[in-house]
Amino acid sequence: MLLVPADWRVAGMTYLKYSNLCADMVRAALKEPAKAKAKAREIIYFRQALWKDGQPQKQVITDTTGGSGGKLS
Amino acid sequence: MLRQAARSLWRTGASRSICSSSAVMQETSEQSKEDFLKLFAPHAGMLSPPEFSSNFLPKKAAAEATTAIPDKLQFNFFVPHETVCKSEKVDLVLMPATTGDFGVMPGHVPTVAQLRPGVVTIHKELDKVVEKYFVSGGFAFIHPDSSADICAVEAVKVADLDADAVRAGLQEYTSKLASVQGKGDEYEAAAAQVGVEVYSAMNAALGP
Repeated sequence: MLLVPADWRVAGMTYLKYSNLCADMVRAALKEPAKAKAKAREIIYFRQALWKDGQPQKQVITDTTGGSGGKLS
Repeated sequence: MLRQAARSLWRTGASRSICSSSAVMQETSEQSKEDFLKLFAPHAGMLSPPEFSSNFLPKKAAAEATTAIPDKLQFNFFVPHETVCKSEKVDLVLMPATTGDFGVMPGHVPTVAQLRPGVVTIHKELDKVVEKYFVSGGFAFIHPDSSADICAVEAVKVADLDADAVRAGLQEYTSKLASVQGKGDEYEAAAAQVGVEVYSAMNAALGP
């Protein structure tokens, strides 16, 4: 039983994703004052750009300020 | 006849390598030395007590044989954004590992355990001062010197969990699992399964 990998691993989820997903769910189930502080921790914001010939080509902004709310992926 | 007797005696002697003395070989200990000296003293007269050969042998590292188990467990509990416990002396910590729940007291065998979503119970004073934290997952390390570390992603006091939100979440994910299962999207099914696991653990932590 221990030799069979976990469901999420079989489905292609990495441990990092699984771990953060669990944490998101725990944060979503908190009582109010603690919840607001915890939501602030969930935010991921970064900008990435591919550079070519010394010029940035395209900017991709990843922003989860709205919060994923413990939802999938 | 006498020759045969002598031969059989020689045979037994050879197989068991019996020396002339019938004494059995023993390790010297402080106790046996004391006993001998006590027996020797009344007959000593002007003689000084004999030396024991073990006195001339190199002293064994007897000190390392007895390493006492400390009284309390040194416990560290870290979360990325916060230190919950640092070098705290506790009696017992109960942790929910993927392989089952177990408790750590001073002298526990060194272990690395992956934690599942569940409750970590810290007995700062056995059964008297008890703290419970719900962890979303992480790892626990128990070292040979009776110190233990838990590194978790999220650790919240069980009192901070919202019972209504937990029940609602459990229902939501159970129905989502039922609807997604068998549809072919493994990722969604796995994520729903994770949801059911985490919310059931929180539900169990809040208690009946």
